[in-house]
Amino acid sequence: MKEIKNIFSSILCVIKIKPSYLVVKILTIITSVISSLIPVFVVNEIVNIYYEDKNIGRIAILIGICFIILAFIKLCDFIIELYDAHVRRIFVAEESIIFYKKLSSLDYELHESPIFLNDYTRALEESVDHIFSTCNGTFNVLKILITSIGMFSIIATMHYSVIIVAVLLAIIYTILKVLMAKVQFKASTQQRPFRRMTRYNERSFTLKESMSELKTTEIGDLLLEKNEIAHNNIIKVFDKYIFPKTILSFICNLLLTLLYPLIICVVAYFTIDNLTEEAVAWFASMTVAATTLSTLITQLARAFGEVGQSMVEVSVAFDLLKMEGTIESKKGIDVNEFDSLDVENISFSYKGDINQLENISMHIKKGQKVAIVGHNGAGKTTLVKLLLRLYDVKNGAILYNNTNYKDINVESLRTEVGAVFQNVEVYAVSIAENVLLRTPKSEEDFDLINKALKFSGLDEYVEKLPNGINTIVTKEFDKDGVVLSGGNNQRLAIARGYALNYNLFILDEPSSALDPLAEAKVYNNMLALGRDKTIIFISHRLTTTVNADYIYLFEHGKIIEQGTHLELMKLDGKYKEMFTSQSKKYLGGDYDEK
Amino acid sequence: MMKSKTPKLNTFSKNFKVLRLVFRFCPQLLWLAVIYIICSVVASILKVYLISEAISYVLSGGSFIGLITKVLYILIAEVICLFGNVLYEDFFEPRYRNIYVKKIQTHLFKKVKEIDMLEYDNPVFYNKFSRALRDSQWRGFRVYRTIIDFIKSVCISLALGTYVIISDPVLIIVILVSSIVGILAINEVHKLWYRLFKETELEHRFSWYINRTFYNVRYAAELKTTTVSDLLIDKYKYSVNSLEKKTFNINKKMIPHQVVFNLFDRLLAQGGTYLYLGIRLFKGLIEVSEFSSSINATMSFYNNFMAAMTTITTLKEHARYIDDFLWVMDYKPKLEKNEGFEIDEFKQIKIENINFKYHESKDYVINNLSFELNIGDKIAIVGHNGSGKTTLIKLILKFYELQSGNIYINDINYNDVNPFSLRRHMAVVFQDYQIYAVSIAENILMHKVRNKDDEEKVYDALDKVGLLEKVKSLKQGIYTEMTREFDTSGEAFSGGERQRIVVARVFATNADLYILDEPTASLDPLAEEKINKLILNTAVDKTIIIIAHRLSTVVDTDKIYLMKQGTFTEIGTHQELLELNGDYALMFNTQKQLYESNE
Repeated sequence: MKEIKNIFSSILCVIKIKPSYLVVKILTIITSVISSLIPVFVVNEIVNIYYEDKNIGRIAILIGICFIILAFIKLCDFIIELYDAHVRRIFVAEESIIFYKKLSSLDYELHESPIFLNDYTRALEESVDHIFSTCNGTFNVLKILITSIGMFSIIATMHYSVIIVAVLLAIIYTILKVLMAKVQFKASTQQRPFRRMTRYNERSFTLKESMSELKTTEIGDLLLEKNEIAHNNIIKVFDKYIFPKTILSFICNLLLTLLYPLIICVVAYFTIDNLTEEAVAWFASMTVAATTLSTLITQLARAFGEVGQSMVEVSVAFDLLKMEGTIESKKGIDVNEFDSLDVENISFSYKGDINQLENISMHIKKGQKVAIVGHNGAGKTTLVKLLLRLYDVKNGAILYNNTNYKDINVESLRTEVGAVFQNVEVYAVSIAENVLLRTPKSEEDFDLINKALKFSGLDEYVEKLPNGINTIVTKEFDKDGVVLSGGNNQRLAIARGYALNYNLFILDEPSSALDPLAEAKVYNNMLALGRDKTIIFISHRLTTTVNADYIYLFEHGKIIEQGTHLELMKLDGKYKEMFTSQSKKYLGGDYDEK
Repeated sequence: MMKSKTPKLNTFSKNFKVLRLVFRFCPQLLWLAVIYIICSVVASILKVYLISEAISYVLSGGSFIGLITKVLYILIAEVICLFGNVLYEDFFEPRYRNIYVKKIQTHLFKKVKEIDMLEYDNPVFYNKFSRALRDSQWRGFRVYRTIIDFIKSVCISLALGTYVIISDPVLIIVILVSSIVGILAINEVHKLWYRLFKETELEHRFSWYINRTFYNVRYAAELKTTTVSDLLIDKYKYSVNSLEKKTFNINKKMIPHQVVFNLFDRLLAQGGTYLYLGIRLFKGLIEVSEFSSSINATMSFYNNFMAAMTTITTLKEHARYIDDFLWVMDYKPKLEKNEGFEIDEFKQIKIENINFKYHESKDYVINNLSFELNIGDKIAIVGHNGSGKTTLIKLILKFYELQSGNIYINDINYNDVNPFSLRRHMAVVFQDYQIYAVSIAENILMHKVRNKDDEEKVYDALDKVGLLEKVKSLKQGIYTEMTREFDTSGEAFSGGERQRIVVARVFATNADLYILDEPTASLDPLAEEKINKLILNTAVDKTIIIIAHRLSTVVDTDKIYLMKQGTFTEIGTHQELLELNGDYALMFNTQKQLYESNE
């Protein structure tokens, strides 16, 4: 039932974007009916005229007219096809944008859930195509059905018993095809995990980053071996279902082959003792009709199969459209300029997991430079996500200027609070757009971009490029594009953070690929941003902490020490241990003695 | 890059080259295909024959029982052919397709290893290569399918053509003339489609890129927190519009050719046949029975003939991709050849005045560099981003060819050394290391666990990097999968733990030379110190090269090489270099300052 609903939803989806699609589809049905009926009609007429008066002029005109119509209709078909392709492209483009926007409006949690990653991502990438295919396939089935009915009615005027044979065969054929599709579905379901494995291997072998290891270790052989096992399993599943599949397919083909002889035999049975001229005429046109009929039945089964498949797959797409984000719904009050941020005793865990963060409290005032340090996996990155409200806290509250995060419009929040993430992503657009994250329009925009590049230290590199800040990043779409090194990627991300002009600016280990000089430069620039900007540095290196106003040390999701650098050193705890281990080789000996 | 010369001849030879490859991987397909084609040809002849026999029998006033027996014989023969067809189409062909994909993947993936490293640094090469690799896996079988279809339709048209000629040679002329003109016209249309495909390739790729970006979790956080989604959607709209404009312009040009095609296809070929046969019927030259069976035979012939002609277009389409396919298959590496001197043991590497630069760039990355590394040495190479440290390592691994100068291992020139044998003596932690979706043990050994010894090695290595406890606490121990990609009971490791696994790889090898390219970049401070000590203390008898830009990592090494603009400018112990008060001292002091308070 749900599938039937999906069909209607798909059709509605397409028609909403391109209403003319409906007209085009009705036209295709008409042309299809006419073009398959004409040859049958002509043969019938020729034989009729033969028995009437053998007038060559008459049939010449008849054939001329009919086939000019046919040629014209075929041309219309071609133009309709082109238009159809156009509709498809426009629909895919516009519907994709709807999906993209929908996706952005869903909670971040969704992206990280394994169910979404495994089952949805792949289906979603093709979901818009599936919607169109479902809609188009339905019309296709309709078209073939109506054409067949037309064909049947012509035959019916000649002999009703043929209809019974043909319809009976068509029904059996369709049932068999459905059975085949079910077997096929079972087989592909069992093959799916192995196919996924081969795709993974393909990825490993095409990934640039894995080349060095492929060449220096035996990992390639190991992956190849696993790949072959996966393929063997695919073949094993294939073999398991091949017997019923082949038998069913044989019966289907047998029915198609029998169609014509059967029709002849049925007709012969009724007419053989009583050969009238009329019977001869339609016997002749039956030759053509039977061929068309068998083609139509084959087409019908295929069309059913296609719709059936996309009908199932399209459900993922509609599931997504129905989802609602609680955080990203963008309801709530807009915020004013940043003044204070208070984290009040929050706890957080990912679905079903143990607590990632427990009883965290933090207080950040405007202008402060705060450092959050701790081991890998101490929960620092999770905190960033909470501060950006990609997730909501489970217990406790985060207050922005004393307003609870949960009452704030996220969009407005994120113009004030922003982050440079640990894993930097760049986009295949120009450097300027990569910094600004929108198309620069005014002189001011360009000023800002240049300032931002200078801030992160990328300016020298960009100045050397022939196209400057208009150079496209990556060579994927522009052979004059640039591929940035890891360090330059991070500089670009830092420039981005600067240009977006956040008042509370979070840096999640932004300098891991920078060399120390560059790192120092970036940090000094940060600190020089002035009293207005509030900055949270997240790091497991303690270079940011010395000059920070306040330090929080995280361990296992808890704050275990907090205070200024001097306070924490005096505390003689975990912070001091960490700091000494990192700095002793620079400062020599114990810090206290210095 | 290859350019297509005379397209027609090339199209066939290219396709047949690929066909030969398919037969090389699946030789059984050759005779199966022959049987299939024979079955198809016989079946289609029988079909036409059955119709004409049945019609003439009924119209000549035979009995019903007589008809049934007559039809039955032909039908039985047809069913036998049909059975052969089904067996091939539903059983043999899909089965061999699976087998072929398996074999070609193995072949191609082995090939990947042999591609010279330098090529991967060239994005143009890399894009083309990864596209070709993906396409090549199924292109071969598609080519096979198309060629079999082509041969099948040609054989059927020949057989039916003969049948038609016997009954009426004029008919063949009508059909051939109109179909040839029609094909010429439709060929123009196909050419335009190809042009459209070429001209809009970029737009199509951009759409895929946008799609990829929006559905990839990596971008999700940024898409939600910034305006970049609007930017990308704008770009996408722009690209869609440009695609539509180009498509419309070329589609417009197709219509006149299509008009010609349809006129010849329908009016002349189909209408002409009807008219010609009608006239003969009226003149009493043929019977009604012959009239209808001739129409059936001629139209069958015409459809098969046109089908054969359309497959040529498909073959041309294949040819477009085959260039890339053959390019990958015929790729001859410069360096990655399994030949040359085998290296038994590592004693010394000597580098003499080497120079190296990448592809198109003007600047040399390595400039006149010389140095010697002897067994047991523990050295560090330090320097800024882009000073050439990683490139030097890649040269030592024989990933690249030198522009000038020489590298010797145990006094044998690198040019004469088998690269794979050379690399077996080196264990490397790369900056961009990968964790694979296999078990922990396999991720450390980089091969299967073959015996108890291997297991011991894994435990030993895990112990050294401090992960033994954690791994032992897992239900499946060292056999736990390292990702959840294929196994929900797999264990997800944190960034630091993953890096320790990678370091454990080094300890599990028998290599004599350890190369660590910034092994501690994402480790936390305590772990960093531990690993550094461990590498230097555990591997007392090993030769070690550590690359770092964080100098605290290297103060304990025997010798520090400071790299600047592709050559070593300062060499010595930590203390010596500090006293030198050069670039090293400057770097060290800058980093030191980061730990010093302003106050």
